[in-house]
Amino acid sequence: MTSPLPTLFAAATAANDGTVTLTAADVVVLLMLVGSIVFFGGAAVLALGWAFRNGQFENFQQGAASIFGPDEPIGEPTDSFPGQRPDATPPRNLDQSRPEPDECRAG
Amino acid sequence: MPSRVTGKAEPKRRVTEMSTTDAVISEADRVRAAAERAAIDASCRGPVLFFASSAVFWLLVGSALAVIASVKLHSPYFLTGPAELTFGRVRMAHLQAVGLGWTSLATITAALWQMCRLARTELIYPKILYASGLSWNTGVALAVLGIIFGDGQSVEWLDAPQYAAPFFVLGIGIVSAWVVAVFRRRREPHVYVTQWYILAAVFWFPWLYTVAVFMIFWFPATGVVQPIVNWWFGHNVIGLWFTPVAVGTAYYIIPKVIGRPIHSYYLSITGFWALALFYAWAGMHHLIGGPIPAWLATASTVGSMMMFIPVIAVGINHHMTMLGHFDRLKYSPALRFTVFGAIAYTWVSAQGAIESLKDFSEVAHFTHYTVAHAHLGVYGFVAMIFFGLFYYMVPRLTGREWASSGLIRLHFWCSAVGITIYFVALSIGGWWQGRMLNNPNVPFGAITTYIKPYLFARTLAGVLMTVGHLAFAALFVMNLAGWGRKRSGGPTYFNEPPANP
Repeated sequence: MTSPLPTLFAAATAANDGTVTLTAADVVVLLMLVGSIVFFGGAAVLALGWAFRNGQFENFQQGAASIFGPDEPIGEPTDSFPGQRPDATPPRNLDQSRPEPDECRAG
Repeated sequence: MPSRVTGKAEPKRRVTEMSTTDAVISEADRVRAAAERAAIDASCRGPVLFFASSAVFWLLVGSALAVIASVKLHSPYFLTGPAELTFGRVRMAHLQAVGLGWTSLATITAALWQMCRLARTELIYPKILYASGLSWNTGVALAVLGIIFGDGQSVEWLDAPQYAAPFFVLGIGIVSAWVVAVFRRRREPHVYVTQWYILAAVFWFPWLYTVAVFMIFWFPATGVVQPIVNWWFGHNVIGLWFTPVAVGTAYYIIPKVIGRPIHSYYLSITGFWALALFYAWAGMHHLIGGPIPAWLATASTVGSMMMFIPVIAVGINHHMTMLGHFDRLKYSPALRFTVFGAIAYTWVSAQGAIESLKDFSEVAHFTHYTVAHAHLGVYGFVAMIFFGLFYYMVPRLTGREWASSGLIRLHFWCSAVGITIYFVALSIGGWWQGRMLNNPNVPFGAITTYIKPYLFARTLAGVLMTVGHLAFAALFVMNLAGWGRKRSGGPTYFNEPPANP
């Protein structure tokens, strides 16, 4: 397989009327630039598409609660200075008297 | 995928089936979940503590170099004998020790531990991560020693000698692969916002670093392209490597410590995608006034101003999550550091956007004002959040509580007061320095004399922060040595939580 670089040099030189000759470094810069756009842009589009298909954006309330578990439930502080133990008062955004959406019950 | 805890296969579930939000928690559920969390912590204990230990080591090295460099600014005859200790070398070595040493290793520590926890899965093949850590540490050692002995490169943030680069590429390559591997084996179906930030960071940084090294050293671009690539990397190493993992860490630590979900998950996701979209544009504002195409600097200013979107989103979210829970700052060392870092993030990011304006840059550029801004970002924001993470994470990994509340408080107040003095002194001094530099009637010598008290304040701040780091390192070593009180029930809780409310 022949290298695509000579073709790229020729095309780029022709495009500017031959007044400016591209160097190998110029071509590397262009390839990096185009590569970065394709790489980062493509990855972002793929990630967004996957997230939508996978239901990651369907229930934000539940997503926020996903870091809690039965051993470290919502409402329990999990850190203190050695020898201190803070009270376990329920957080204010978990008013137990207020009805919550079906999919947002907090333990 | 079989669970290490139950031994049974656990199929992936959709986000609507999560059990973590069930209203009633049985004791059996609690025990099972605690055992699972303990098994996850145990699986990553070795490599995570290896990265964390080396991060603390480089923090001390970087602090010592910082104090030497700072003293030289107001007392230029200090340690002028050996060439190895001249300002140019010491300052570059400091940047490598704290940038690629402490901060990057803490970033890797945070990424690995949180990805395991959030994916609810054990770390696989942990021994290979030791090779990664060894490679990265070799790179940092070569960078620091290479610069000290005269092999430094005059490219900010890429000051390391060329022979250090392959070690960094290998190290981060393995870490990135392992983070992705853990993510792919996840048992938790929901991708929490912290995971988005971590995945993006381990995807962006290897590309940033490799391209920058390739285009500046291995296959050098010519002319003005070099500084463009230099600041594309220099700015993005903060914005697309440190920042995502630090912000993601705050999104994990704050809700976990106070036991409250983040205020608006929608805002957190918006903030992530806005950062991903706008941050990479911003680096060229470092070259405002330089010989680069005007449109490039202008586009960068636009990107910088657009950063207000993620910054406001994150700022509102962190503040609203904490609202009504600020009393918890009395109890939790992790929260205290993390909230300080989160506030600094809002401040430094808004300031950075303003600094990108050309009129503002006419005064602030090339002065100590920029140095103050950089330190507020990398220390006040990033380092403080990682200190918070360490205070939360290490006891869960070692099974020991911190040995001394007093040393934790000493660390916090030295760091908080230190960075505040540093920022205020250099911001004021730097601004007037810029005003005087723009005035042709002011002799340069008068500016140097005027700025001296502010440079003394900088040294005082540096000494304070170093004292804090010594306290932090002492606590860390004591914890590893088993000096803290043993936590009952395995490495899940810092203190045993009270009964289920």
